[in-house]
Amino acid sequence: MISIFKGLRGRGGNLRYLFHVPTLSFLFFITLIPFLYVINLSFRSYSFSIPGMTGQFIGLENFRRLLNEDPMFWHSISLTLVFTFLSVSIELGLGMGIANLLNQDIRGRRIFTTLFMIPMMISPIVVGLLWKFMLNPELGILMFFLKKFGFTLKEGLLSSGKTAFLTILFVDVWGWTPFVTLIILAGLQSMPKDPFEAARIAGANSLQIFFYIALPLIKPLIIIVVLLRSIDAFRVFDTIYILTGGGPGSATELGSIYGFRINFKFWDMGYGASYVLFLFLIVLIVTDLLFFFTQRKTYMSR
Amino acid sequence: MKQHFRAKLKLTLIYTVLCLICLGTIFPYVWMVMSSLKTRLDIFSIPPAWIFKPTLSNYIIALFEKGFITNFLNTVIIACFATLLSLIVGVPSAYALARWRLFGDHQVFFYVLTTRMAPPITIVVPLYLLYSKVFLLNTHIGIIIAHMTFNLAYVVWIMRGFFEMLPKEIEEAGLVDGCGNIRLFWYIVLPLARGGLIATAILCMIMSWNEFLFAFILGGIKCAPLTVVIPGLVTTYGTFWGQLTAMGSLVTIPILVFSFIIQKHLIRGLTFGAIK
Amino acid sequence: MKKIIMVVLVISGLLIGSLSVAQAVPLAVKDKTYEGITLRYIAEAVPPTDAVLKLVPEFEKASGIKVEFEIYPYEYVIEKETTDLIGKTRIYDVMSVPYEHLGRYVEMGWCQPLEKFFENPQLKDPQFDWNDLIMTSVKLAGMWKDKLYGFPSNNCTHIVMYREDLMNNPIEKRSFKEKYGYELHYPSNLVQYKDQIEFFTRKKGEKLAGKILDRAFYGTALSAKRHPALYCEWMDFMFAFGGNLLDENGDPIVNSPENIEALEYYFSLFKYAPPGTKEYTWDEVSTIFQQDQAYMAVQWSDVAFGVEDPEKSKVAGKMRYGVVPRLVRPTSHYGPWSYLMPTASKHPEAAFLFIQWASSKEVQLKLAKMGMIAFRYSTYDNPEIKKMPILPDVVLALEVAQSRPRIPEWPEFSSSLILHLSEAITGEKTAKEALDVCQKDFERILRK
Repeated sequence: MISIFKGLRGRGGNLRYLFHVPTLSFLFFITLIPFLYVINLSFRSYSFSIPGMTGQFIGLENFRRLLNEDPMFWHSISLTLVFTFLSVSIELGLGMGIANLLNQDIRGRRIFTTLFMIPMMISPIVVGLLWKFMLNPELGILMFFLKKFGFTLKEGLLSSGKTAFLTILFVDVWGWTPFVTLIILAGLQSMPKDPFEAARIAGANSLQIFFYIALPLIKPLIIIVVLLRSIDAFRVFDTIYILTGGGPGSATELGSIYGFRINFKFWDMGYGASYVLFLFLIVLIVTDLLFFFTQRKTYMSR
Repeated sequence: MKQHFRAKLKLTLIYTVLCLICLGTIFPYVWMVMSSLKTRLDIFSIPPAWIFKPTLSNYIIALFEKGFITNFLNTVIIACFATLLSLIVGVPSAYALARWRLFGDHQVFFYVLTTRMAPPITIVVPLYLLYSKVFLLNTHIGIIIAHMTFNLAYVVWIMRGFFEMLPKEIEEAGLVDGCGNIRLFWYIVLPLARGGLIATAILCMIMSWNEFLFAFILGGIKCAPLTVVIPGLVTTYGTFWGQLTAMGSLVTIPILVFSFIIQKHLIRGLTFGAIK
Repeated sequence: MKKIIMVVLVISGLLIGSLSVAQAVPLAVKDKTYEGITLRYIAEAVPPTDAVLKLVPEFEKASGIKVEFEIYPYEYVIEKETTDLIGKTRIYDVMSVPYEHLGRYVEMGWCQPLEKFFENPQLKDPQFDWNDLIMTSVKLAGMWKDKLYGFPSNNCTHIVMYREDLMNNPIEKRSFKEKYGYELHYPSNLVQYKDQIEFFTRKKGEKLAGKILDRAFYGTALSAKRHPALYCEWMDFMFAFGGNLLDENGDPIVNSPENIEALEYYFSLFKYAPPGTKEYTWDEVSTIFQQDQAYMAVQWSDVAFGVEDPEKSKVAGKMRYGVVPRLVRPTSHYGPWSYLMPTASKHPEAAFLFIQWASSKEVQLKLAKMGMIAFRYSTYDNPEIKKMPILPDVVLALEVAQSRPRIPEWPEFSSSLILHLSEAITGEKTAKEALDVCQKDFERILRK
């Protein structure tokens, strides 16, 4: 059989290259060329609002300004990192908890999981509008409930920096905890039963079982979840754009929002290019770190 | 007896917690759908109106008077073509990755993933400028191509996993029968991977359907999908919450239906095939 | 007697009839030179745009030119227009542009002056009355470096809207005089403005105009979200305090003492505004008025029409409008949009005809009747207009209107201004700190 399979491989012939042609040429045109274009642009002064900035080469000026003169740069990057860290860790914690509850001997698991899926399937734009609707300071339903349960708020939740940041964090957790839950649950359910039986007979309590047996078994899954969620938390734009637009002040001005502002509000495309390049670099670094700190092979192995 | 009681208590507790969580996850959506069926006065009435006479007027006004029906069609067109094209382009590559070792295929693989890691804002800026040079701004094709930047990565990653799961014996039999590789791929492999193809297609549809930034920046009014026009109901002279919730519900319903269809493959899809 | 009346009626009828027949139109319209052409026009989603949309069939019928409207909310319009202009996709033949972008559009070479079309006898409307134009409006909205690029498409300006019924309520008048020592009337300066706002802020259960309130009533409402609405509103107070963003030489003076004072004054109004006011833009300010929950606030003249809509508003007919009271000078923040014609327009002649038509006396009057702020004096002489809400008051505002800078760098300017004002509002920065940072930003932007 192996020899035939070899034969199959062999007879792939030119096809095995040919089959890559569409994807690679396509990706070349829609990702590599734009990417090179961005790199090129980041060394130029190019603006649609300031006359005379028509693409002159200015060397590293954009980067110098980014790193030295722009407080918003560091602010937005650190805010993004904090947001990513907090949202992913909260989601992971909650997700594991809920997955464990679902993994108990209960009926109706399917119904529960089906209902859990809803938040992450709704378009992020709609999620943003939906929460904006419910958080309306005078008339929103959530405000009504908060008042009913005795929380008196001086102002709306999106009115001050801290509460606004916590609110977008909450909305992200609301939307993506189900994702973590479903993956961990899938992992828990596909685990071998024997070690658990053995542990139970040995008298371990359920916490011990979870931490010493289940956790190591689902570790690869956790890595994947953390990786995917981090990438997505870095990308988050729609919901926040709708909910706060980066405000109040700069309390929710995450990287993607500020990048949008430079490019499509200031129309400073050269500077904007250097910014988005940096943003991409940071995503690469963070995900690479995650890759290497955890076991890279679990993800890449076939 | 006591132990039985404790077990029961524990189970009740679990059910209560789960039900509460479920309430939390679905309440906002339910509230939106309810609001979309209310009249203007009922939407913001305090205390909230739980029982009311439902009306479809919000839907009718938004779809027909405001012309959102064309945007709905745009959403469908963009999602369908972005999916179809991604499949056509990506599936052969996924198959090649699954079947044949090739020098540097890990690099190819990783490169494909990078396209998804990049925050969309990093891709949309150069695309915007390049499109402006080749007259692709404000066109359906422009948005479709832009959506392929993330859909293609999906197709390659997930379909590779599905192809790897196919029993090799059948292909071998096919080869023995003298099928060419292309015939083999077309007549035997693809029909076998039908389930995977459908799941992948639906996932791509969902991604494309829900996408905002690319369509917002690269598209004009004639190709704007629903996600782009819905926020437009927040205007300087009033927010049309009724129509807004109506369109929000409408744009979500197909997605929910889709995701129930492929529930089995959903996790695999969402994790890029990392979890089978 | 009856006969005479009949005769007079018939004659005047004939006269009016013959007038409208004789009404000269541009030759190109009469000959339908451009029949079959479709123009695309992009504008903001505001009532004046809807008004033009309602009237445009008249133009289409007369000229044979079809006009397709693309209507977007405020923030999208600029993005869409810039996209079209950069990409040279040439989708739009006429654009409605906020006047502060005029300099940018002209300097980038994106739009073309109208003079040469007015010189073309084929296109020119012989009855186009130049003397009737309110020139301050036309200059700010349509002229850049002595060339005419367009006319206001939405000639809006900031006005103070207030509850006249409450101001004239005898009970309130009496207790106001007891408390503040002067008669309750339209505030003649910003100190009185704040007095009244303070006076009319009531808690739930207190009395307003003799009736017990079942919910809170607010003296004012501010549009303090991080959004263009924020700087628009603050700049009113800034102008009233005698401040400005740029001096005569075009150098930034954002952190001038007047401006800082104005910002602090603006902060002092927050206690009299609804709890959600930091999440408001123009829309929510109108809503709170419509629900009979606020007394006095600054609003755009075009948006204010929502308050007069009896279908949406509980206070329709109870409102009056005025200019922002002085501290140094009475003021109104001017914020028109203008018709501009892209250089790349595919049908410049037809586009010109459309702009000319929309700016003509008759159409301005018709638009004004639907709530648009006309930029022709004759409109305001019309008896029907004199009876309408808002419009008679607005002329006063137009006369004292101040404009924001129209320099090409404005997009980055305004974005920085919004951000730092918003930071000051959340208390991250003091008024001075915020404006200092702005000043630095402005200097950097202009140095380029």
